[in-house]
Amino acid sequence: MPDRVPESVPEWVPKLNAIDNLLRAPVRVTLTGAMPPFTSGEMSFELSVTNMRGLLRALNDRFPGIGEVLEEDTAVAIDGVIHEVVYTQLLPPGCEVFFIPRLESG
Amino acid sequence: MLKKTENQISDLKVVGTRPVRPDGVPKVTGQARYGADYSLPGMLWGKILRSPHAHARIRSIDTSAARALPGVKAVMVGSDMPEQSFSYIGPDRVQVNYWHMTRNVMAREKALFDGHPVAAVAATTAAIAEQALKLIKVDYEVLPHVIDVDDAMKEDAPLLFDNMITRGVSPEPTKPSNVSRRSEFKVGDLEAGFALADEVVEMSFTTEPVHQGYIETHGTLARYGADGQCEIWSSSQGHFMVRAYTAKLLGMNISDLLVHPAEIGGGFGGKTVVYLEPVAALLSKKTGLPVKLVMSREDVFRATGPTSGSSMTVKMGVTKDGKIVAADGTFKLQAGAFPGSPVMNAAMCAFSVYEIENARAVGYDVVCNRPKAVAYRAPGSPIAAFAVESVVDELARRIGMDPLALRLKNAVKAGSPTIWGPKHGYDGFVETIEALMAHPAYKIPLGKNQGRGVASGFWFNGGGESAVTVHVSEDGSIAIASGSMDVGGSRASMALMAAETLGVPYDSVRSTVSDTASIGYNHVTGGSRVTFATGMAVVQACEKIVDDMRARAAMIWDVPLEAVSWQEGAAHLTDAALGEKAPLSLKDIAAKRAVTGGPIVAEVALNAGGQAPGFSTQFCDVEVDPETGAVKILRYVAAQDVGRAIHPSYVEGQIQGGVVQGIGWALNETYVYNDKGQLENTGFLDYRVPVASDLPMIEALIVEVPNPNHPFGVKGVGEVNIVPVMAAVANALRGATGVRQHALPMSPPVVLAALDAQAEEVVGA
Repeated sequence: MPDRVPESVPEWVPKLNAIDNLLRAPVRVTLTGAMPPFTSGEMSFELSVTNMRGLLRALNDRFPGIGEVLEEDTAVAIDGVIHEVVYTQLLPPGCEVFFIPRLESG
Repeated sequence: MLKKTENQISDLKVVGTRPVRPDGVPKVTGQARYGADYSLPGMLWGKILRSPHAHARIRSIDTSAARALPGVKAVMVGSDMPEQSFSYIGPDRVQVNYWHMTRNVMAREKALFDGHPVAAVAATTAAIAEQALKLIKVDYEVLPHVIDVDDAMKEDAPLLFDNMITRGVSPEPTKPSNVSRRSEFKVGDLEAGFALADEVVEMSFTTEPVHQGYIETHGTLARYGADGQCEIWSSSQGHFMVRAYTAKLLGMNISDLLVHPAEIGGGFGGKTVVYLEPVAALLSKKTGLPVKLVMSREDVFRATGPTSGSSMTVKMGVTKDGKIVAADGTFKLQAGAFPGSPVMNAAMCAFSVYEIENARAVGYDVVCNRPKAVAYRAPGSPIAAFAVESVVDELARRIGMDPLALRLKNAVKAGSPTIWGPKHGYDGFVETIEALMAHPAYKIPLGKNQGRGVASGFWFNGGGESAVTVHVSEDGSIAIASGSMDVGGSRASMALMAAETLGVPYDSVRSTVSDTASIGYNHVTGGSRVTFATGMAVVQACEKIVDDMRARAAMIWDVPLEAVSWQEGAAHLTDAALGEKAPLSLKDIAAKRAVTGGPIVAEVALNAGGQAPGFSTQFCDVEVDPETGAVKILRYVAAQDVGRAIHPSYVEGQIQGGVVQGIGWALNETYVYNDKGQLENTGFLDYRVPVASDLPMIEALIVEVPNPNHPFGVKGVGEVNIVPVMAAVANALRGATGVRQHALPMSPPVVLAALDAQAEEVVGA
């Protein structure tokens, strides 16, 4: 997880102007598991982001180091549907995002 | 996706049919090549010396006499592999610690279980290698051992690691213990929830570790070249996993290791780790010759991972009208010699089929002197379900409610909360209950000594990374290459989905599994992920092929691309203004491959998300022999939501296989350790898995509530079918005998003892 936002925004990042941002319902994010060391116990946030890359970046800006943990150690449930953590994953306006322990099995 | 999913596809021609399985002929004719079937000129035979002690400090290992034996080419011990740093890497549920992994492959300071490898030999014949093992002198300091989880958690238990501090506890403990980790998931207010209950049931349970019971033992062949390049042939559930772990344990570049997938003779989760591959590769490196290692059945039982045994307590409360208002569970799972039981899965899955506002699940990962636990079909979930579903059965009895009706009243749907945070994203559970309620056998009256048991189960299913390549040959036939090991019929399901997408006959599609240098990374075949994730990649690759074929047809016809459509395996000119053209079949276009641009190939690599969980509800009827305690399964019906059955016969086979393995877990399978911690039943004669004559036909009810996030609606099939089984059998036994069984296996002596105790109580009363 880079510390700084890349200067050039990738093609796949939806372009939003200021009015879009104001109108768009924020994403509701909840962390689970062993995140308190990063967040001092704060586990739920509302963030104005449009995709997973933006969400990870926003969280990492707020809690330095958490981005890498979320990338490596978690899966994500977006409105209840589980996905791998992938930068290009789009986040619908107002969706509910939970970072959960990543699945592995037999 | 918080809405009821709907069937989106109505006109499938190939998907959902039952063609002859492509792996059938090679397997029944003996042509299929498993891990042990590979040999090379000049090959050496490797053998492994294993600890006879459950727990012992290794003071020294003297290999000089073994090295001096004629025919012996190399001897290795654990410290011949590079040391690994001590750190837990990766997701909580499956953290890898290479310091532990290298010691699981071969012991260093201590032997931690009976059968733990301590040295290995490569020799010109297997007999010489065996003889050399006897010449290795290991000086052991035998230590007290601990086998069972409750014993391992006691204050005065022998410690496997002197510095293991329990993770997940705040404040951090100051004393070491055998408890590696504590996990907790909680929702609502337990006290308030139980206060609403009219009936509360609290019971404790134990389960035994059980082995995956794959027929093929582990086998591998390695050739390490003087140029530092290594090749490995082995059967596993993921040759990319073999490559990554072996390279890490030997300090190699991953790309210097080429792993060829062998046919696999069963895995069920047990072949998602490495045992022999690093040893064979290192012995080959030392000798400059290929080295082959094959485990005996005894080796498999003594030293490869079963799933965990457990000790659990579950308390649940229900109102008179059948609303479950609170649930609390404690799940202690044996990890074996190194941390990493599936206890977090157990805690997360335990109550996941029910809408319960107030619930808690606490898990403990506990080391003990047994082989390191490894995944086994829906790891952790069946263990928790045995306890939870037994308690739910008692709740139904207390309030006089049909057990299916109780489950239906509390069943999760899309939008229901979970104990682990997010809401459920999909339907499918209710439909499995309704399928059983409508089944005529559910209403068949029972006779004397007979009982009927119901249970349900949940499993996440998986997605993840897959890569495939689809080639169109010049005769129009199709070749699919993937990197996903075919454990349960994925070559057939890939071919079916490709044929459907391309509009060609199934028989024109050949699906293969490629080596690690020939295809992009594929995650292991596990978590019921391959038909979903790799299948998604196949469909996307075939869609690219269709686009390519349309473009080539447009080139051949000199028309715009938009004027060409693809239907039933052929390009059609759809704009009448451009003239009339006979459709161009895939074969016609492939014949002009060179002039239209060269090879017709599409590659897709993805990290699939949107997987949907599996739900299963099952009932079984049993009859108990009151003279012997023997339990006969009279009838077994298993309903499972699979999303979409791509090849229904394979799906039914998966459901039947999971149920049969669960019946073995329920009734017979157990490890017998003596007082020295040595395993005494190291073969299938004494470790009794069910055979055909033990069983009725298992009726598989395929429920299809398609997954909208997969092109054909696939959810995943391979695991959830084992989750309810032990509880369904226990609940049926409860009905037949009036006695609740709290421990697995429910073998004849155990059942008979329970019946005798019941009789004594009656006499005493």
